[in-house]
Amino acid sequence: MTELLKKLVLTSGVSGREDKIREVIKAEAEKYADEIIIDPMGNLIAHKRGKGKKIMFASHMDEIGYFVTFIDEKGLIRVGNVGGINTLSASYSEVVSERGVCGVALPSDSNEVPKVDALCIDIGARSKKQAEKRVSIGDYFVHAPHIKRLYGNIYTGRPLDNRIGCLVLLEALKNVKPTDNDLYFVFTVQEEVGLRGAKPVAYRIEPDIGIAIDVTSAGGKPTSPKTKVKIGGGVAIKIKDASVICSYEIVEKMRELCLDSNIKYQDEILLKGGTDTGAIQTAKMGCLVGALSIPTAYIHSTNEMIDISDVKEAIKLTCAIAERI
Amino acid sequence: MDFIKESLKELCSLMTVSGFEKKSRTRLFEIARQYFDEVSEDSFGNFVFVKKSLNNNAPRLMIDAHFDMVGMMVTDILEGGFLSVTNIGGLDTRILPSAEVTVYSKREIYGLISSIPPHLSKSGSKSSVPTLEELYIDTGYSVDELKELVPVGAPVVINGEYTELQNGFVAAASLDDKACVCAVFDAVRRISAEELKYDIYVTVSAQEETGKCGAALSACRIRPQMAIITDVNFGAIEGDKDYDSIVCGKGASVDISALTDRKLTRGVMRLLDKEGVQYQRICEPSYTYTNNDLVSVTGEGIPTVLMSIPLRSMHTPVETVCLKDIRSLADILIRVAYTEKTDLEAI
Repeated sequence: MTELLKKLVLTSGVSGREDKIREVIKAEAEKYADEIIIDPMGNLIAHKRGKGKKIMFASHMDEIGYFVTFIDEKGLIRVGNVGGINTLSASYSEVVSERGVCGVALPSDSNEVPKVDALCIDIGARSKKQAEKRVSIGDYFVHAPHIKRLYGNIYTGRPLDNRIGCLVLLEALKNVKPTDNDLYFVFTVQEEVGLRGAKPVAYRIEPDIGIAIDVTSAGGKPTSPKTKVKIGGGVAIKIKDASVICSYEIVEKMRELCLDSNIKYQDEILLKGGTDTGAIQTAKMGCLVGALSIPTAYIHSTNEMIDISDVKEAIKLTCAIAERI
Repeated sequence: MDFIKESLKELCSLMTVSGFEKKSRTRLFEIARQYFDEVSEDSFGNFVFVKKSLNNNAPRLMIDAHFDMVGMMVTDILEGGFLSVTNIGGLDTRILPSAEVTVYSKREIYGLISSIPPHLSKSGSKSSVPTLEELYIDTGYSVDELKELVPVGAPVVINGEYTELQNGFVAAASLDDKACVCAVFDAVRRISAEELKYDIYVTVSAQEETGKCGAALSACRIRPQMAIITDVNFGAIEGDKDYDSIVCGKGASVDISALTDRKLTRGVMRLLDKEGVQYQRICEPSYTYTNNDLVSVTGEGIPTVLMSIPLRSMHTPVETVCLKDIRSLADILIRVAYTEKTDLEAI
């Protein structure tokens, strides 16, 4: 596992509070980009200038989590969710605040999968007064970040959605061969709360082609959704998800690039969940879009799972698109 | 009426499942080139056709009708030679078992939606509507042949051939919204450039059924001073008398909504009243669930008027309209195109 991947996963950044993770990405991106722009929403744009087609890649850097809404008399932290929490997985898991305060996410009733608004956080404080020394209303919590290798190429950790996409984009920025194309590697904010960051960047850049890089649900496990996509089956080429019908010209072109360059790929139709792809396609006057995905099991749980060989194929495809589409 | 009949039949024969509108660009361009000064398309799949007035500084009037239709997409090729599918747009799954379909891949493949016979159905499931996940397309091909012929992601249409009923009624799949495309073409065909007060930008837009973004992207490019959105609306049908609907055969309607421009809408109605033109009114208090909802808030905001053709059995292969209502919409569009915007606002 690369040190970069570790750093990307272990640096937290809930939607709307991406400052720390953006700094990590910026430090890496500025080594290879001609210019770095941070827009008013906080999107980070790494630009590699060219005179050809304007291609915008987007990988979101935010993650799901919680904002503190109030602290009760017993010192329990009440929270509101940011994005789609898997409450089954969240129950009794470790959480950590932006100030490094650790706690446990508690369901209110231990016999049922809790509704998201029933979750609260126990930081061990015995009173409101004690808790207020360490936590304030508006602080954010995330599920404790971690990453480890399981077996062979299989890694588990959190948040792999979508730091693994950020890794793909940074590696592509680093490894892309000289090309005429005008390349924008964008690390977007607030994807988990409704694809909010990608739209204004696409409005600013007005790309000819937009390509999102994100995780997609993988099947083949007892609990996984009905899908053909498998971990270890190669990079997934998105055809459709709940936010977008990808431009079929781009889907076909991506398949061709994979065949030409011996990149292992699989087709993806994701029935639930959206990606920045939809926001980019419909910004301003619109553009052609596609997306490549890293097959991931247990998305939004405290243990997301990937096959690192798929990540390598995703990097190759991203470079191929940048150089030759 | 001959133009309407012929062009409607042709438009309904074109495969325009949302996201695949560009596949039918050639034929659409051939039709449009006869009546417009400019034809163009964008990357999203919107088509824009321009008819200029003789006045050099005429304001831009956008008239939108969406080109796309609901349908399905192949998600997998299964052992035994069956195809699994997902929906594109709001499909009525009640009408799917045993429906005839066409899969658009390397060639057009005829298929049927298979169903489990009542003998084999679990008790309870006989009376319930199957979900799309429980339905499969049977083509007769083997799994190996299908893998060769059909890529995952191929669009599927539920067949509904253009059929003439009595009294000028016709039925076909995708009359939502080809009936309006046809009306707009009929209007532009009959408009005289001398009397035209606007440069008309007709958008035959993409993906209304899957998010309504297409027309708004075109509006952002065109920056019209005024836009008329045309779509179908629920025509009254036996068994649903409580619903506040418009009636097939009594003319197109002018819709009233918080998201349409009040002055222009009132101006259009008074113009039609003054000239004794028959039309209907329907109220969509907040959202209209048409392209109007995004076009009206595009850029700095665009004043819009919404007009509808009444249609029965929406989102089925037997959508039904009355040809008279198509003609009625065309007549209304012509009258508006001959009236200055300031006059409309002042009426």
